[in-house]
Amino acid sequence: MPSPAGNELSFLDPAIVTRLGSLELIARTVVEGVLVGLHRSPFQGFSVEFSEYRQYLPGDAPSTIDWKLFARSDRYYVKKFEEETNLECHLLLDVSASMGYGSQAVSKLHYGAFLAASLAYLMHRQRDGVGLTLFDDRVVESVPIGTRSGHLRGLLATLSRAVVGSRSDVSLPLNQLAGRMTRRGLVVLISDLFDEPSAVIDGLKHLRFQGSEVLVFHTLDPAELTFPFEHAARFEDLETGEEVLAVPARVREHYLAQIRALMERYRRELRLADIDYHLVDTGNPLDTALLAYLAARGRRW
Amino acid sequence: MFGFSFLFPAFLIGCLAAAVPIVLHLMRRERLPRVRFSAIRFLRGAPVEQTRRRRLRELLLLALRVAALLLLAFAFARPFFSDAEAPDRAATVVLVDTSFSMSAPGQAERARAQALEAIAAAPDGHLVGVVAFDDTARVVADLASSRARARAAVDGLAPGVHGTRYREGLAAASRLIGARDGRIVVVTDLQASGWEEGEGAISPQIDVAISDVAPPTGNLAVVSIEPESGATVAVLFQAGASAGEIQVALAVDGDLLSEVEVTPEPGRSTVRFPEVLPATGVATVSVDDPIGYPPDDRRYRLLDPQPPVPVLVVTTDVRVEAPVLYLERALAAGEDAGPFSVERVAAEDVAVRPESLERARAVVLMGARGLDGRGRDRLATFVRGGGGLLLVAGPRLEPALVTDLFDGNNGPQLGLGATVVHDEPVALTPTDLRHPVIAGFGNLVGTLGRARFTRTLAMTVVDPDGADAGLVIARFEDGSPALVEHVVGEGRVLVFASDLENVWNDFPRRPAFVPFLHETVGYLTSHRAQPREFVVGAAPPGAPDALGAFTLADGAGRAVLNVEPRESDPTSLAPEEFEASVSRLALAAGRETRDEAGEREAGQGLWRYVLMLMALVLVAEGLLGRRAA
Repeated sequence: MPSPAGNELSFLDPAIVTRLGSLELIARTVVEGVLVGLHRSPFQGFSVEFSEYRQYLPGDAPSTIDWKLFARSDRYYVKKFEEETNLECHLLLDVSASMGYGSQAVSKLHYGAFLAASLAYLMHRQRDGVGLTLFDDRVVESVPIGTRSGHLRGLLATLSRAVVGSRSDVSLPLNQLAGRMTRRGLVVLISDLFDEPSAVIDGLKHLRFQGSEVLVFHTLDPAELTFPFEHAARFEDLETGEEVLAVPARVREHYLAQIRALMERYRRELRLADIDYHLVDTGNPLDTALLAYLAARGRRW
Repeated sequence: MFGFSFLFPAFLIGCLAAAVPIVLHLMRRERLPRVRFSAIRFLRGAPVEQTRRRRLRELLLLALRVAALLLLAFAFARPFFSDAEAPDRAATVVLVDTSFSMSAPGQAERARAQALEAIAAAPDGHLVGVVAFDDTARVVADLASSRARARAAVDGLAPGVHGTRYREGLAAASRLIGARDGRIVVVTDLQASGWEEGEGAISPQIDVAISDVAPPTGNLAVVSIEPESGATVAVLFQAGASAGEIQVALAVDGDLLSEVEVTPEPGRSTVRFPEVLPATGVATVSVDDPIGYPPDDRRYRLLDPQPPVPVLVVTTDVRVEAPVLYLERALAAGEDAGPFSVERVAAEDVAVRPESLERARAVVLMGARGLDGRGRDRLATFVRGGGGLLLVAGPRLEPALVTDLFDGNNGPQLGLGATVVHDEPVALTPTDLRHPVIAGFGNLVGTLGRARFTRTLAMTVVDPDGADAGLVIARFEDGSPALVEHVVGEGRVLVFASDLENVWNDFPRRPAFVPFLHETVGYLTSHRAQPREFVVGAAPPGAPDALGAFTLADGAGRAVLNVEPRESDPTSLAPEEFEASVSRLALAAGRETRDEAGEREAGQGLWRYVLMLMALVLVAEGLLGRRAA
């Protein structure tokens, strides 16, 4: 898969992107930047449906000729297609307190919001329906599926209002969404998944068994991935307020093993359930996550 | 019920040091930064400190450190349990004087009446007790709510023959009251001499009231009986008003010898009886004093001669009489049996016949051959215990055997040297005329110089270190020491630098020989002389509590017991003076209380247990701190 040029990469750095201000501008900048770098659109032929036949005219692509009809009528007809939306995308953004953590300029919540905005913009650009759900241990705010341009602005406004909440319960919105969905669609979960893994995985499987495509962006801060602390400190949990006195040099190995085990578990079990899992490091440019999404879509369609 | 006190409570200020670990704990606690983090759950199971557990551990550590410092301060403050009963009810103690100065006609009855009044006047709710005192104190009715026991005890009180010591009585009453609030009512004649002796103190919080039993207007006492040539003299003491002409009687063993009529002058006066006292018996001089104290109306004097003083003569061979002939005869010389009884023992038997040494009051060491180590040790112990030793440095004494008799016991080196042969005989010259041995000769001291000495033993009186090695009492004409005294422990050693057997000199054949030996051995035995006249309060153990003659223990003969002469003076203090003396006693109480507390604390030794507890606390702190690190 082609990569965007270096300039674009630096422009898509989260710390720089966040200075752009509005989410719409951010989303457009990210998506256009990514698409410009692609040699071939993975969306060719996607989202079009047969409308009527017409007489073959010179210049038409031979591949469009309906050979079965030619066999019956001995005339050349070509298929006429009509574009229409056949995909509903549900964006689930975790706004629990742990998502408020950020060791650098951008917190996980902000990064997730950028990512969700970019995906929404991309969907809207393809005329797919897109909805949004913000949740922590309950559904904080929800934007139903829509395709209109005004809908996108409303969705982005909801995203911009997102603030960190309390403890997270990922399984709750998944189960609610599974009960609400009437059509197959795409479900995108953006979360740090600091919840009971079995509950999260069960919820995702539920959606997948209903026929929806499920994509998980496991969003983690670089500090959560490397535990770079040096001095002994009292570590206070963002969600529970629990305090732990630790000397980082003594606990780092254990911590990294634990978080690697968590990621590995999600990766393994979600793959078995045919669910796309992507680890998102909020220290990396936003297009990395977006390209991961596009690659996943390319594999499926 | 026990109280808890400290011997040095000022050290408790060290408890402030307990603030140091608290401050350090608080300062150190603030230094650890707080980091808000999202993935605390992955630290679970890691070797981390759960804050709550660590806080608990830190608090425990802090408590242990504070406890260690507090215990250290406690240990320095020297805690102890005081067995004083917790004050519950106040008490009144009636302190009744039963000395013989309360024995004048009508005085005892007044004292009992006043004591009963004091009991009746005790405030409601007070416990009441009765203490009787003279030169000692006795609790005759312990503290009780009921007054009946106290009244019964007072009814049984009567003056005795003892003197007055207020301190003893007040201290006993104070001890009876203990830590309570209370008051002491002293029923006494306020006799001035009662403050002269005695020990004790009273608690400062105790009030002392006086119930004055008026002394007699005068008192006549017999103070002493002295024999004089052809007569007997009695000394009388008249205090205050005289009763006029009185009869003074002299009797021996109850038989009246003489009686004279006198009108005593104020103060001391003498009464001469024309009779000579016999050699044995108990002489008594008595007066008829109708207004004074009866016990001092009679004085006793023992006429029995002193029993011979046992002297042990140590010689080389007890079967050979020649070496000790002159010595024994000289010691036995005198009226009747003589002042000394001599026992002869061989040098080699000194160790195996310890009873001879125990009986003797002095030892004359004529020969040392055969004196073994145990015998030398027994002799040294005998001298240190107060015995006398005359060391005769004649031909039978081997200086090497006795030179270091006291060596190894921080005693003197006797400094005996070689025999000196004088071509021209030398005479003895006293050098310390005030020494009792020489002073006894009086004007006849010159007789000592008539003896001629042809051989003597060289003696050094200053050892090589320059230390004084003895007191030279007499020298020979050539200047060499002849008689030297050493003080060893409680006893004395006299070293005579020639013989006493008419071999090295002709001293035994000279007139001064017998008195010289009597004075010398008498001087050595005087430190162990048994007194035979006592006053009440200073009588030996086992003496009866009655005036007159009694038999001494261990068959040491008879002795007589008289009243204390100072008790015969009825001069009394003004109540204000008495109260001032009580105040001084109360001031002294603080010091005495501290002394008692010190003894109690030393007996209990709680500080050791406190320090051990502190050590345990520190060990626990070390273990816990190691785990926390």
